Amino acid sequence: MVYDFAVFGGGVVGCAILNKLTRCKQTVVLLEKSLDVATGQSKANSGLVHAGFDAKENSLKSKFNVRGNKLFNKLCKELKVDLKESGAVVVSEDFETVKRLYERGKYNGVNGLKLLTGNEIFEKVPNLKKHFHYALYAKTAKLVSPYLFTIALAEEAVINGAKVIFDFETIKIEKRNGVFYIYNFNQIIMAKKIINCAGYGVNEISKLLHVEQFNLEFRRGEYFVLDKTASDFVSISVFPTPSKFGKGILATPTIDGNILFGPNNELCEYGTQTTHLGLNEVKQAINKMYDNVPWNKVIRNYSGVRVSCGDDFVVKLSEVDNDVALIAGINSPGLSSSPAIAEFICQLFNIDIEEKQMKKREDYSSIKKLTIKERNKLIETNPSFGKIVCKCEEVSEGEILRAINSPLKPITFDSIKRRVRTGMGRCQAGFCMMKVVSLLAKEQGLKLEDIFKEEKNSNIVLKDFEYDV
Amino acid sequence: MMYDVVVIGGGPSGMAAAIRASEFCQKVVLIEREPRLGGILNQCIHNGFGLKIFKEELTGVEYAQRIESRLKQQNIEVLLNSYASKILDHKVEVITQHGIKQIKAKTIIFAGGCRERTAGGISLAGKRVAGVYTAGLVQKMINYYGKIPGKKALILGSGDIGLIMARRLTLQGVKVEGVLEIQKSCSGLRRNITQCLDDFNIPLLLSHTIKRVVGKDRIEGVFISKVDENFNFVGEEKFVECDCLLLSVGLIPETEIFNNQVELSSITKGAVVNEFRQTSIPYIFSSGNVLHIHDLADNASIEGEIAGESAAKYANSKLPNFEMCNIEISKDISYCVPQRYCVCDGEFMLYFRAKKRFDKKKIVVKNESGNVISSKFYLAMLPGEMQEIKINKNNLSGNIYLEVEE
Repeated sequence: MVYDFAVFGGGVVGCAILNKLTRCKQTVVLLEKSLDVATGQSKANSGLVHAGFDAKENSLKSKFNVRGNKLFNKLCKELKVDLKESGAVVVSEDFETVKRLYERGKYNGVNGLKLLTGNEIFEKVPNLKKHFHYALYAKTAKLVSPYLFTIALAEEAVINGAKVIFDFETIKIEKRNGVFYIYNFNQIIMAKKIINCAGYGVNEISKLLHVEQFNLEFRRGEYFVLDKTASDFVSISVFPTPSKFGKGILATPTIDGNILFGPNNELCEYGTQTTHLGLNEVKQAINKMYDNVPWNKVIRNYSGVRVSCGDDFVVKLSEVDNDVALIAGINSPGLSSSPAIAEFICQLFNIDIEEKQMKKREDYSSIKKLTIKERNKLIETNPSFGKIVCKCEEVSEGEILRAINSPLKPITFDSIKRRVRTGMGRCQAGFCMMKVVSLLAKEQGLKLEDIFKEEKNSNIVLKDFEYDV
Repeated sequence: MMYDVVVIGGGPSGMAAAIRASEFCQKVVLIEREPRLGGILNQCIHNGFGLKIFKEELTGVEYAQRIESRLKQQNIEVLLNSYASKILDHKVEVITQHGIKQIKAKTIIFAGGCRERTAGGISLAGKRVAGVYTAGLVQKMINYYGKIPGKKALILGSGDIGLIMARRLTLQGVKVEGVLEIQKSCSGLRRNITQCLDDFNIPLLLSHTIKRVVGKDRIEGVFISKVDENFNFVGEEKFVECDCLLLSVGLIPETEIFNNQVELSSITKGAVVNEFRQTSIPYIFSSGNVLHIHDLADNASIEGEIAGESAAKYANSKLPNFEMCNIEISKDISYCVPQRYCVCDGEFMLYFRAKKRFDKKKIVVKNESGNVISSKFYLAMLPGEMQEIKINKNNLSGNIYLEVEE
């Protein structure tokens, strides 16, 4: 079949577009080179839906962020994804900076902004050092799981007719009679229009399409993750004053109850390693701003690489080929903007924005949200919901099996981790890794050594040596 | 129904606690989250277990079976596949395949064990790729699942599990490039250095650590470096090729179930207890690796017996609320357990670890007036090895003080 649209890249932007186009009655296929959605920048960010006061006036960033923030509430409800409007503050030693941000926020159309001084600040951020006398409070900043949100967007699209193809490495694209023929090593996908939002791979796809390429810049951001037992350290996202390199190193709760410190901002070659230098930079910045930092509760570090293309986002139709939309340089506030970018793509292609009745996705994430009575009912129908596999996050076998059999058919250890949090806790899968690997293998009829952590060839275990007898 | 003693954790300590408790009271239940009893012993196929309790050398699995067969002779209810998720007021919430229940308890013994410190816990830099695992996880991979983590291994940290895994990997055909230890001395038992490293010519690099992990999808190698006393990198970094990295960098008691209600020690990370292994909440007891990290399973079992007997007595109202005094330690001692004692006649064993190596030194325990109430001579004391000294409490009161004699 010839799809109306082919979307390159299963990050949050690609999945938001996939979802939106499906809602708008288009046939869409999403092509992703990894084995799951949200394996790049979309899995390694701060998990925040920003209010929108920080983006420069009249920029695409400001427009999409403010609009996106508003769309998040309804969208998360429909997708059954947790969203918490916990708010954010920017703290400063001088009044001018927060005042300027306040004015910018007003101009950008951000609601719920308030200037705070003295005690008002410390009531919200008790561990903040006392020399921060001024703050801008933004009520509408929200917490979301960036990967669950991305997964849910894709899942809803898929159960409503969209197609997602993983492990799709594009080697050739041809256009004949208004139809794009997209080749990988073993199949050809046909589509009338193309959306290139391949993140750091955007130029590779553009090259195959013979359309514009971009000057990309990679900036690494490193983070610390703290255990849930440190969750009372901050209950609101706290930013220093922003600089030209972004929003600065923040301390924020996550929707799942952890604390994040980070990110720094370091020009790099593309690569998601963490570094001593970077981690130390985060550490020093946090120590400068806070007292009583529970460093002994750190359970993980990670880094995400922001792809920049100048100061603003690029979201446009190609000047070479009007059937191609190009999306590049989606760094912060990319997650926050993703629903609005999807809307804008519909406008660019003049698509009727009337949405069809969508089948709702099933929420297979934590059963801990349920009452004991509800959980017991679930256990009664399926005892595996009473068999705890991951103890740090209290995840049952039933939930893992549900995730394995969910619409995108995740096959890797990390894809299960993102869906039900096995291995996200303080033991970092020390106890449950092999159990989850066993379940993944069993459900797919594979051997343990066939299970990958994240990418192809990231085998978790190897087959034992075969000895000569 | 109200149980006299609810034991959480069916490892060497919890099983011993349940057995001992059942000798003193009727209603004892043991909660274990795995499908079988034994805990981590089930993945320990090496020997060295049981010398203290059974006076013979057993594998971990055999040791577990011995204790389990004793347990089966007692009147103890065992809940397998059952996860104790919360300790509430005289109640334990348990998640089972038959539903979530609350079990009422006169006393609770928490013997839930420990977890391994992770790559994140030591802020290991570099890529987060497949092939980087804690040593205990690899032990399970090989001994339980019959798979290997790679074919060329490096081990970070000289904890006992790391040393044992160096031998285990070698026996399985995996080339072990070496063991790195950031400290100036090995943190594992002397017998493990000899039997697991020396016997297999596996190099131990002291004052060395990993700078960063390299690899695309799986680990391809690490950059290592020498460190100074403050653990700062010194000298040139060196690349070591490997396709798996094992971490044996410490064990942490899993006390989260206490939800900060029980007083915890900032050193052991376990509960602060008296010689009955009674916590700051009198009906809650604790033993085994969740209380402090033992280097012998036998010691975890012995501690379980103490907790089991004490909890049973408490359930029978035979353990009064005694006046309590502190056991203080000098700067040469890293910790002691118990940290408190009850003012009543009797004796108890005080366990402690030295902060650094001491040769031919006397350990003394003094009372408030500075008189020596107990002393013991040691040929050698290593930080990695737990020591014990007996304290006679008859007519003893006031805080006591443990030190290395000058």
